Amino acid sequence: MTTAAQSVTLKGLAQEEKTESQARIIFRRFRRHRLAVISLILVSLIFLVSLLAPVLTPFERDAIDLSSKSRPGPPGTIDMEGRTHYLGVDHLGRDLFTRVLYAARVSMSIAVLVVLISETFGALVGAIAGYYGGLVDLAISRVIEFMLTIPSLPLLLILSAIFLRSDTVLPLPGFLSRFLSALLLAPEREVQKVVMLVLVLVFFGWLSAARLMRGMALSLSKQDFVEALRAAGASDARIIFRHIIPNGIAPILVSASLALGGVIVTESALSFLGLGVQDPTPTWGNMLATSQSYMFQHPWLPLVPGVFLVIVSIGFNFIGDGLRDALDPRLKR
Amino acid sequence: MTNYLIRRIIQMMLVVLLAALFTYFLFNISPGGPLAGIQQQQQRLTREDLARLRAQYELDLYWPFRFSRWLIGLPNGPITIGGRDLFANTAVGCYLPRDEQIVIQDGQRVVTPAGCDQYVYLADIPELHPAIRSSNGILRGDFGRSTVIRTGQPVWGEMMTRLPATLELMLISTFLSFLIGIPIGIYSAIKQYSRFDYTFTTISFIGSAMPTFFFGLMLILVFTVFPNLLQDQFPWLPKLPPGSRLAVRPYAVAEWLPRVQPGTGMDRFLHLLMPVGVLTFFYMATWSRFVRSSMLEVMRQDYVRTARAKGLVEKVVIVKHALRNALIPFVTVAVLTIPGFFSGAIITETVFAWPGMGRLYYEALNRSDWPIALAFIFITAVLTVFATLLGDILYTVVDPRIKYT
Amino acid sequence: MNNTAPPGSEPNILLDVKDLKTYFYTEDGVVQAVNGVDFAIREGQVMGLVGESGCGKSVTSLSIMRLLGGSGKIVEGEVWLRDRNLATLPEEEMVKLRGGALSMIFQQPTSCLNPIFRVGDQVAEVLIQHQGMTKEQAWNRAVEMLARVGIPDAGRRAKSFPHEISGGQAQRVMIAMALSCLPDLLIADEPTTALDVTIQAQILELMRRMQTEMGTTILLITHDLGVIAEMCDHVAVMYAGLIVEYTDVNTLFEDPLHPYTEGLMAAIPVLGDVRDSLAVIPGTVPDLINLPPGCKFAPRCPYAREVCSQEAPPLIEAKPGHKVRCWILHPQTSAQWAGYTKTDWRFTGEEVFAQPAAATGGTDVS
Repeated sequence: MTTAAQSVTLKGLAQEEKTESQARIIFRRFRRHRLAVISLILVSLIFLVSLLAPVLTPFERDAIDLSSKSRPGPPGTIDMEGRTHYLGVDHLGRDLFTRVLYAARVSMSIAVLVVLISETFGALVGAIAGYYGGLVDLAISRVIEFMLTIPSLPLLLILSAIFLRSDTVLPLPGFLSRFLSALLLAPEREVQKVVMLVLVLVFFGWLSAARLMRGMALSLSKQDFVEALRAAGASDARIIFRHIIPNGIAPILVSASLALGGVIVTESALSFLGLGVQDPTPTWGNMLATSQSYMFQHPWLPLVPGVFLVIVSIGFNFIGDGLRDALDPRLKR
Repeated sequence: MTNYLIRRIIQMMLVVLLAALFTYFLFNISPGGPLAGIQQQQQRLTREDLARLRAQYELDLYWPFRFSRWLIGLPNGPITIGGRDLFANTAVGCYLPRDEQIVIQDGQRVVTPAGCDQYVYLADIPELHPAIRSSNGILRGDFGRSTVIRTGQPVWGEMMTRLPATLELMLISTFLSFLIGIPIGIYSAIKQYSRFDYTFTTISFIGSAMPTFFFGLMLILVFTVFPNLLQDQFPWLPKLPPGSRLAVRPYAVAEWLPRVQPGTGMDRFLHLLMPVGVLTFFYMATWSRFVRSSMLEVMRQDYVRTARAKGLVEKVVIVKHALRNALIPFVTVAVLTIPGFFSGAIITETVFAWPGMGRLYYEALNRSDWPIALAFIFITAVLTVFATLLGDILYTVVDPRIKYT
Repeated sequence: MNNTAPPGSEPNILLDVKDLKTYFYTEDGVVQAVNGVDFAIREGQVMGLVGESGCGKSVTSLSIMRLLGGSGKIVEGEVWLRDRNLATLPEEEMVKLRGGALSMIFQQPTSCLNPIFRVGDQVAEVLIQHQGMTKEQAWNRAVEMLARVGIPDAGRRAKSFPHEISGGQAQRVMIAMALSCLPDLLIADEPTTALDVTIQAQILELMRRMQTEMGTTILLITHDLGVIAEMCDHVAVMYAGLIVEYTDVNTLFEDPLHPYTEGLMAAIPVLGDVRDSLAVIPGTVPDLINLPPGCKFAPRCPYAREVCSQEAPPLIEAKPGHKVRCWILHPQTSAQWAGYTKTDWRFTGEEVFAQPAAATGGTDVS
């Protein structure tokens, strides 16, 4: 009899140990992906630097240094007050170091906003499609399928060409507009355009999350425990939010991390082509675009935003890869 | 199979119609509509000027008529049956619209509702719509006329002058990327976790994560800018032309090479190097990853183990049993590159000033030449739908498991 | 190299596996899948290897075939097929044996056939490879083989693709493929598990018929004691990478000595026996990365004493021709269990351990 009791308690203990060590296993596996760890450190550093942008630099974002003799000016140019432009000044005489930090802030904020909105929306749509099945699912998955086959860049470009050119004012509530303005360290009128761009990017951003979650929800909704929950009178909303979505968090996390890199590249590409964020709001993309005209004499110009862009875009991909290995070793690339 | 094909083609036509509707919808919500580009050029316009301009781009027609004319070129006048014109007096648009006005009359505010001062009737269409605005409809292959880039010239003609450059660029880089990427993917999968595998998965990973425009700029820096700036110290460094497809005047690549004459094969080759390099690297990364993962997937399959258990040598196991299966998804995905042969590489063409389709589209968007932009989107959509269908049909050819009914 | 009998000393032994250890090197550690397995099969015999999933029986068979894949390695031991040690045979030699003298059939017959080739071609491929036949000869012989394993209208069926035939037929094709070169040893890894019950019986019937007709020696791997009872001459019971009991089939069913075997027997559903849930031995197979010291079954064993979790028992011949790996039957320690009664393996849900029943129910084994 004692054996029985003991074995039961032992089993309980073992289970606790298992869940506790789960996090440690994930961490250990992640740490093994050296490039992911390096990327995490570098990306966090850029993130931190972008948060501290106004503290780290004495210059204003758009302030023009009239004293500098050459515009663009090389790194180390010193202005009238004796302050150094560490990375030089651009063609208008604006401090590049300052602008690249502010650009980090804008690019990162856009990426985070887009990913946050698209993954949430995608997860929700996917969960609904997978959970209800039938016609709802058919309609939603057809839309996803179709949107995934069309080449997204031409459409993204035409959408931003149309929306960013228009003078339509989005009905943003005041607090949101003020919050975004503080987040981007940009005046409220510039916020408008950024929000439009975010919406355009979300238009194509939610697809992979939705597809992932749909698959997850589809298999979960067929399982007994969901049946039991339904029989016990749990509402659909409760089942979706408490049981289905939490189950899909791990793959969504991986997809979000990969998406962060993707969105940063897409946003930069749009801005590079003049159809994204516009000067004077700095982003790495539009800084690269202006640098293209001056790079033949001033080759460091594209390097400044470029290095940031490459680190962040490749970095997020490696982090996502590391996360995937850590969360599900079977999916190892 | 026949039934399936008929069904798919009907579906395809529906999708194309939807694509047309969608592009047209985009066209119409665009600020200032197709006039945006013109308004940028010519500032002060009178009401009559505006009306004339609107009429030129058929903005005076109600949108269902406009859409139908854009799509199929109809109606192009009254319907004539047995010598009698029907519906000649049906209003199909408004030439001179009137905004809602508030007039003070006898000390009272009188609101005149928005309306029309001069209607367009079906009978007016042939004479009111001269050459520039008439189009036989996009479905009949008439994509209208350019408004800004080549004002008044047919869009199709402009696209045809750009297509060869895009085809050249895309065919070469796609071919090269297959040639390099597929063997790398296969070999990586066979030698999973080897040094070769790690090196090339990391390279491909970087290749597909790296923004192409930055990579392009880097190439220009390394092969054009630095050799130029360092000409005095390192006169032997070769300098590649940074953009465009052909040179205008003779140029020197390096002092130890003869001068390159414009329009020669060498000139073409040198101009191709960098854009092809960028695209090949990018596509190669994608394809080697795709082939590797599909190969790995197949190598895990039971039938590969069976092939080994049969006593086949490893080479036969891989080439005959694994590779054939792994290439099934590859073939169906590879046909999806077809639309790209038309639409080109927008970013790369822009970076290297390559006079192809992608750059044309970029210019059209930046200068609000909507007829060109819309034609581009529409043709790309049609080609995409077509490629998808082709992929599905190819599936039945290469995979005996798939039978459509 | 412990107690190695020189090969060929017992002439009718076909396969002699000695102290086989196969490990998998994974990111999470070394999985000790097979941990020192010894057994031998006489020519013309059917030997069963039984155990739960994950006990190492499939890995044992793949080790014999040397088809372990990238991360698996035979780290120790010998596998003698007549006078050749397969564990150290060069790969070029091994390739000639596979499908020829040594062939294997698997659990999922449908997925074991290559989906893009006709089944006839897949059978013919072995003949071309090993007997140097021409394409046409091989095809004719393949059709013959297919007819022989009971595929109706074999000439036409040979032209089918794998997805066009049923699971049972696919297994027949696999058997035809495996037997077409008259192998010395056929390894059948769970050949009926994925099939319907009626088809299972047919496939077993076919295997027995082919065995008597062709005199093939068979190593049959299964988790189903019913299959063992029907097919085998000798049985080895595996647990956590070790053989825990080894004897002839009648003795095993009449007098199972190892507690694990006892549990397996009790877990066979008896017709008409009403149970709340399908019986399983409570607990799970131990983690093969961190194997417990002592007897691997101790954590699940209702009879476990202190010694069991401290030291691993050796495989001893407890009765003539009946080997067992258990301290209860070891002469040094059996005294500790003097007068114990056999457990009444009642399974009433997963949490409850099989409990030693009141003295009345059990059988005295001392």
